[in-house]
Amino acid sequence: MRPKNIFIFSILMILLLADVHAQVSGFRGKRWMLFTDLATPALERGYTIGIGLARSRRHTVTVSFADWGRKTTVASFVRPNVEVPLEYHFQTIEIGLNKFYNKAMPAPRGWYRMLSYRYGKGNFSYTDEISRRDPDTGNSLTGLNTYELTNINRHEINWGYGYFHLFPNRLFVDISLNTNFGWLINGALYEYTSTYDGFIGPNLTILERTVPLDADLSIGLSTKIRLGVLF
Amino acid sequence: MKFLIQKLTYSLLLLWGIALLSSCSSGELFVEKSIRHPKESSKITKVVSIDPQFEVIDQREEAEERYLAAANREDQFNEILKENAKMNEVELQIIDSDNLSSSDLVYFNELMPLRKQIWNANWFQDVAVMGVTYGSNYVPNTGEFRRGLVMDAQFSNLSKAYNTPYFALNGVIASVVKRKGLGTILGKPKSKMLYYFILVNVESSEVLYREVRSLNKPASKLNLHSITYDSFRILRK
Repeated sequence: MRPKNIFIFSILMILLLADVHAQVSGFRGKRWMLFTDLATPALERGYTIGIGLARSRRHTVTVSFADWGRKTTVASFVRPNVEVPLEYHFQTIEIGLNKFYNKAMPAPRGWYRMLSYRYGKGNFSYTDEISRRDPDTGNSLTGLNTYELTNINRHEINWGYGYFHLFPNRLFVDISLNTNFGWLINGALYEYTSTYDGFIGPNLTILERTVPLDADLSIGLSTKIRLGVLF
Repeated sequence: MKFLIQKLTYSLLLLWGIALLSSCSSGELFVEKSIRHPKESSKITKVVSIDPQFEVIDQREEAEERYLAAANREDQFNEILKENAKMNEVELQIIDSDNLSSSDLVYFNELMPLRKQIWNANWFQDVAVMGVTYGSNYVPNTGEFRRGLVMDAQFSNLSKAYNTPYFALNGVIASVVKRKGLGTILGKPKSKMLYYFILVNVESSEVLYREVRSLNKPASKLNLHSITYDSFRILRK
């Protein structure tokens, strides 16, 4: 299932779970959140949109969808000490659960602990300019090798702490810092194309060792700076 | 592998730091309801609040505790109470001893003794020793008390005078404390707040609902809106 479909499905699930008769007040009856993450356009090219709900006096559930990518460089496979441009693009869906510390103040307000699961689907591609000598004529030829890795499935678990600050009425800023543990699932499609025949490209193993986000397991720090509206 | 362990260690240290900071902002909420409350909650459409209290104690002065002038804050608190009660479909009539009208002359004869009775019932019929509650029939972990706290029946006539049997005591006690040690770098003083709400039914002469909240936060308008709305919400459910 594509991340966009999972996002829509998750929102429907939250809507179905929302119990209007529950003893959950939110902030003066406002329990829903609509937000965007400023860290996504700031650190990666892309956007994040999400929706959240105060499910109990101390818990909120959030679902967010992100579409992001980046242009960077990577070491060439065939030319030593040469950096070539690399592009990657991901679509991710994140489902999070936040537990607020303050027992006296109804959620969402103040410090909280968070746990979330993120699923992403994406691709990498990069192009390397190469040259070779034509065996028949002896002339020097240049060409382009394009390497594409598509259908990458990435899973990630985040846990950390955050602070939810509400401005008068509806606006809020939600800042969190978390540790993430991610892993890739095999089954990515690898494509190699060259502008001329007879050139043998690197295999998938070499590519996996080279691109920056391709490690099977990863641990890292990430941050969220969410700006949104409570309604 | 060494890099991963290093990264993980830094992450954990950072998270521990944040966790320590965040532990400062926890609060507590205690709600106890009479066993009759579920039957009566939908009937609570009008409440008379007797002289809501709003006090700010400034403990930054070393000589002695100083009570800040909080008259204007009291008016603001009264408005916040009314507004949030209305949002929960409760009409709140506030009898403020600072602004008595000719129709409130009953205050000194009836409401002040009722106020005293409510305090007495809550202090003397529910004695807690070393965390164990004696005297009342509070059922642990249920938030309910059976054959709850009772008062004299002499106030039952007030239900006709005010057109409701529900009378309440509301109040906020806020304190401002000087930060010590590293806390002084933050500049802002440390604030604490206590909010209470006791509701009685004068016809059945019983305490129907009582609530205490303690927060390590200032008694700001935003915080008061949040807790008073939540308070009336719990009362009505």
